[in-house]
Amino acid sequence: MPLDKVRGAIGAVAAGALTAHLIATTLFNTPDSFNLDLRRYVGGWTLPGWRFFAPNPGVQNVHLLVRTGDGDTTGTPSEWQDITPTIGHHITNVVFHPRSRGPKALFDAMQQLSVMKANYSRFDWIVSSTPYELVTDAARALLPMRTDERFQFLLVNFFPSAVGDQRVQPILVSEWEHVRPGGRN
Amino acid sequence: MLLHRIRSPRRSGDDPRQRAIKATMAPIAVGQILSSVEALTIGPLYRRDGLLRGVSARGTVPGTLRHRLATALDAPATPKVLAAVNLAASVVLLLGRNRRPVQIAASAAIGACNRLNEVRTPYGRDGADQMTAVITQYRTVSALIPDAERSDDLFLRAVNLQAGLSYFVSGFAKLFGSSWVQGDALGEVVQTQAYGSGPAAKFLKSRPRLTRALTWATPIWEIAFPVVYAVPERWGNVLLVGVKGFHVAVAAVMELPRFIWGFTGSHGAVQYVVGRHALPSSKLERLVLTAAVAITATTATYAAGQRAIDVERRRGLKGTAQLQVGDGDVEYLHTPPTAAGTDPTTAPVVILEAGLGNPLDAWAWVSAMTRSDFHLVAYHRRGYGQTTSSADPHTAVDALVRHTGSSGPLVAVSHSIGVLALAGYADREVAGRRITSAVVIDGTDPDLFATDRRDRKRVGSFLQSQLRSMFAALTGIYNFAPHAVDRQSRYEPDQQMGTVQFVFGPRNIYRATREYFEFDTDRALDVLRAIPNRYLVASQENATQQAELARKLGAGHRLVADSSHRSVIGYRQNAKQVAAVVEEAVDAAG
Repeated sequence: MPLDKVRGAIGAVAAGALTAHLIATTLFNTPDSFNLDLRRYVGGWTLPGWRFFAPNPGVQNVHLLVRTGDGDTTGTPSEWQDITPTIGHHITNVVFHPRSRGPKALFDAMQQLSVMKANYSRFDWIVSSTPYELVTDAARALLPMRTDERFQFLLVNFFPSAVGDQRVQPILVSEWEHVRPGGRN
Repeated sequence: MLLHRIRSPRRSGDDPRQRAIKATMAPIAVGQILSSVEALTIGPLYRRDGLLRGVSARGTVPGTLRHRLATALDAPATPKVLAAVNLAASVVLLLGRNRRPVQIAASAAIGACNRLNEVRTPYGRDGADQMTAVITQYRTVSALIPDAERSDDLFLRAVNLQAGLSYFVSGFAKLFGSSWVQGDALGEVVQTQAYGSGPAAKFLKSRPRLTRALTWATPIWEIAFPVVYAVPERWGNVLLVGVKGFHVAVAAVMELPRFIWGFTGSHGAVQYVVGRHALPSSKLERLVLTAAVAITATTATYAAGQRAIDVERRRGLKGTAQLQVGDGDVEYLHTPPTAAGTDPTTAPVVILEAGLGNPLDAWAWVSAMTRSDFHLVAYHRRGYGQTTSSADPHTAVDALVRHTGSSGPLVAVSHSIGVLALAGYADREVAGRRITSAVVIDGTDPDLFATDRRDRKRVGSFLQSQLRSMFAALTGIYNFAPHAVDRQSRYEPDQQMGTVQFVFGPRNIYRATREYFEFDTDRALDVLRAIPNRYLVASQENATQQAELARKLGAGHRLVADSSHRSVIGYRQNAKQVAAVVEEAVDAAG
């Protein structure tokens, strides 16, 4: 009998958790970015965001550019080079598309960095953030040449459907980072 | 034939609940098999320099158990191990013949792998991952309910709610997007590399009319998704086939195949509810929707209460004053000079023009930081705050300056679009004299503004921003969610509250929307250039644009470092720099 009561109690908690998660999901999915992180009310359970391509879809290509140099003002850095990971397009992508994950990760990181920039976050805070570190390491791995000691990356949004000078929107220029991982600034 | 199969998909003796669960879990299993194989083929992305590297150990304290676990999770080999476990569990789920214990165990394994992958890195995930997480985690949690029948019913109903919500929310949110409303969204999306390279994308790119029609049709059918619960069962099933077709089309156009499996899985639960016609009487659905409505109503009521408190504050001793001008009152705040030896009847008068939709409280820091040997007059233009007079800015300012009793020189200080209000009367006499100095703070460039108002996309963006502000105002979300108004202003508590409650006042949002289209820009630059002493203060956010405006105005230009459009007067340290320029302008006017 006590075991039944325990089971009943666990069942009630489970039903309550599901209900709370559903309520939190409903409240979380407001039409725009005005929303509160409600995970704290459901024990950290992730709440799905269902606003796909809304209210404004992503209509830009994210480009990752790098240049190398000695990192100070005396030398001339190299030209910017586009090292954006490419997505190979093939008919099989309609059913099986593993290569979309990497560019999506870059897009997600760029979105976070854009929000930080738009909110006028301090640059040292941006530099110590996860997306910055992620993009720095990825850029380092994709460097086309390693003859210089330092490199800098540039994140650029390119809007193919925009007109004229509104197509290119620089998001962030990094600090001069070491080409060798673990180098000290 | 298809309709026949939709109408009679059952084998006799089948439990409809088990059949629905199978219809839910089988696509999830297939999707997870593909997803696991995908994960096993992109190994380099998981390396420590890859875009899918683990980031869970960041911020944890070295030496702690949490750090050790997170470091293990972040290891490049971990996602492959998780993928292998996920693959095995998915195969078991698919081949488990709908045996409940097997299904629950496999769901728990898939849900756990999904969660660990999410903890490892939040980057690179998509909506299909979310739906898979919802379904597998709900299956696991609902299994804790001892009564199997009740457990399965709750699971299916909960997944059905998430599915219905996912379509409805997606469509409703698109109505707040100007590119969807204007019919541009899909055409713009298919021009991107990521989503515009599928085999069907080329077809759409060459048919702009069809693309536009599909842009409008998408949010309409998504919002209409709940119709599947209202129509007869067979038609509900037909509609769900249509929705599956949509996901297949998305895969063909945008190369998003994972969505097919994640969302088709949720349709099994939708069919269960559609088949039982149980929605109107369901306890779960009623409870969730009632709670959501009740919470929203509470926050909306709370917000209305906060706005009412702010109005009371304005009417109190430390509040604002009212001056009758024409057919109504103008709400204003007059700070007379208090410095010893200053004659208030001849002291300069500084007129403060706020930006679009902003209150006179926005001038709090600038007012507090300036010297006290001149008058300061801030007011609300027609339609804003407690101003009931329909007088135009010139008439209102003329009356307010006369009310100060000073015959001293006039200085105008404007923020943002306030410069266009100023341009409306800067070439006319105000209380018998002309303005002799002007300070433009992060001003709206009349040329750019005129161009923006002719560009339907920019007008759409503005209206979208006003619509979202109105939504936040009516639901009261702004009192709980972070937003730029609060973040970019750091006034004393009364002014801070006043600013936030004013900006999110529905009447002020409505007025700001109308005012945007009312300003005359044709002669604005000429009128402003005719003011003898001109100064411009730029925020860092608009530094380049403001430098150009300063050039057009022939104005002295000062940049406030690390400031945004709002914080240039909303932060004390920034306002101090603005106040110094205002004092310079007053001295030049005298």
